[in-house]
Amino acid sequence: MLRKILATAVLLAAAGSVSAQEPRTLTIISHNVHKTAATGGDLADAQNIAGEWAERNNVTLNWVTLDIGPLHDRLLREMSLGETSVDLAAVLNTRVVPSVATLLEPLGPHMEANPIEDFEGISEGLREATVINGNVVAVPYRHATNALHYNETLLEERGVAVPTTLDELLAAARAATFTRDDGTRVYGLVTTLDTHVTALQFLSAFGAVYIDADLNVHANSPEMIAGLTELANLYKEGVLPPNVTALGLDELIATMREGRGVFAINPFSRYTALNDPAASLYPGQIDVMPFPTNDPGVASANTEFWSWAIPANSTQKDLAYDLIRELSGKDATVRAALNGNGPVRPAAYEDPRIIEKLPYAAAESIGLRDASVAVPAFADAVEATTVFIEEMQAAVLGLKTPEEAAASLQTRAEELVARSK
Amino acid sequence: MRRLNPAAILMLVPTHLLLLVVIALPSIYVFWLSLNESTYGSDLTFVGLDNYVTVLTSSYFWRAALNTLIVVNAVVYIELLIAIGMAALFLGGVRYPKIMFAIVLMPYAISEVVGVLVWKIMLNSGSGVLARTIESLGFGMFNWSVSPPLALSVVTLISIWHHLPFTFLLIYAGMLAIPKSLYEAARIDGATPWQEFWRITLPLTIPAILISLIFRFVFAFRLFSEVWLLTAGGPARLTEVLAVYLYQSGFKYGEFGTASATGWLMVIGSLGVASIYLWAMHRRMLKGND
Repeated sequence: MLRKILATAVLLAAAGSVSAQEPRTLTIISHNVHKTAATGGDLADAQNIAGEWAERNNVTLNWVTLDIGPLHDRLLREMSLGETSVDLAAVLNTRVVPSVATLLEPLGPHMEANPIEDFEGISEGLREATVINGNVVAVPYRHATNALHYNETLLEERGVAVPTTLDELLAAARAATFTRDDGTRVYGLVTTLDTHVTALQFLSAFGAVYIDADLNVHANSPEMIAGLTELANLYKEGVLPPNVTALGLDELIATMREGRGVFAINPFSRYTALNDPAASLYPGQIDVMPFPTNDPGVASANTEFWSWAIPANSTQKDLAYDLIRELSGKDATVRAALNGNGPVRPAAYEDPRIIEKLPYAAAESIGLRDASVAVPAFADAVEATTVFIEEMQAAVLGLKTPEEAAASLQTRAEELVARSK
Repeated sequence: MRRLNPAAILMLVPTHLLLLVVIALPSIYVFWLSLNESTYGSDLTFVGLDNYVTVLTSSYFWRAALNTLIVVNAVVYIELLIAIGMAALFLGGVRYPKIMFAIVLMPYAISEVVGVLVWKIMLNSGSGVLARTIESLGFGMFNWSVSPPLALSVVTLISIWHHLPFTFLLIYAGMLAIPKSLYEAARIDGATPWQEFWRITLPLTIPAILISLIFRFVFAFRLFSEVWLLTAGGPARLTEVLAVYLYQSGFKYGEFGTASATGWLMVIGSLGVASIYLWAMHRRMLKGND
């Protein structure tokens, strides 16, 4: 009899444990780069950090990957509902503004209960930018710091040396612009001027700042006018591609891979894509360096960064936070970097695995050291970036003089900042 | 006039309920939203007609409205002329009609996004097959992306390419409904093919043309993907159309009040255009009933 009771108890316990381990689904909304960073995606030597965590915890991860605009649009709409199925979200630094922060779960209590490993090891500037009204609302995960990529083979072919200063870069870009015998044009400098980040990267090498961290607008500065003038000249001279204001990221990558561009402004981590042996005509020949200034040894680097955040109306906050902890750990940061992520822990660049696998690690650590956020987060930051793009494009295409564009940008940005205050 | 009996009313109820839930209620809510200041994470604040004032005093709105007006008129009328010509051609008989019909309808079967992106690749000023062909023919670099008139022309071209099958089908169906006896009588009287088209086909296709005009004006007014995927409204916001302006307000800046006001102004605009043709149709119907 006792045996029967024990057997029944064991069976019941087993059934109970089976039902307790029923897989839960955690929905993550992010850009595809975050999924690749956390899972390795299709990489041959993928580091599936999130997958391992999911397996350990019997969780099914449901990734919803979208482009930047639609991602935030969907997330904000989800967060405006009474309850959302989105448990974890990647958010861009310019979108973490006070009004949005009210819709995010304050992470302080979670961090007190279950601290993130060596949280102070995450870059201080990035950590501070995710504290809104005294609450930590997101944990930095990925930085995209802009750099200068260059095709060594094409430079050699044109007899142009790798530049070390801004003036040398401008001269080299001009010298490296040519037309091949088959009519193919090779552009000295390729960049995407349909976004603010890469344009501000170029302008910041002249010392130009659009809006500083204290929300002071510096758009009408001599440095900004000098940068816009040079950008317009490069466009007029055909050093920049003729469709530069509509050039998308995919097109930039294709242009560089096909040898139709010599220098390109893009984040360091683009190195892997540009040198992909399966897709690039110049694998291993497109190197990257911090964007030079005329101040020897000082790089100019604009950065944008992404963080993990939990919608306040999520129903699985603890589980989502546990995944944040996992992804933000020291080892996970290194492994994500091996997947192509921009590590937010400066110490990661000293890890032998990164030094061995990422040839640009040393350059990126210098870039990150000198980096500043392209546009700070404030209520109308998104509109401020749109205004910048509009005025910058007008100056580049000659629809306005650089002086007119800079003056107009100053007035309009000041209005936006004032409205936000 | 016949009166509806209770059974007929009962059968109409589900459709009307559906229309109420899917169209009327959201429209009323959007109108309410247009009278409020609203963004993510904040409560509604009633501001009366302020959003309409903001939109109507914005130079970007008027530029977008002008771009919309130009593109929509170009798209609708060019598309209509081509559709009439093609339908007349099919009516007269073409070789391999099934294959030709499939070719004509093909663009409508392609996803709008895919279609626009393929056009964009073909028209890429550096490497696109069409752009390079245009250049090799001696027309110079086809750099449409930095020229608002050229960019809007490309938008018009793609929009016509994509929606032509719809207009063609409506008009072709209208032409097929014309009694054959009219053509036989005309031929007995010695009418030329041109006279047949001008005196029989075209007048009797007018109702179908009016319907296609109404549909296409209303659809074209919402023009978005072509512009968004090709230029995103650039350079310098010079190729924005109303739907892009609305999208920027609502989903980029999170200003739902001004976005809703723009939406309602678009409804009023497209109703204004459509009402001309609705009035013409109504007159024809009254004449037909007399």
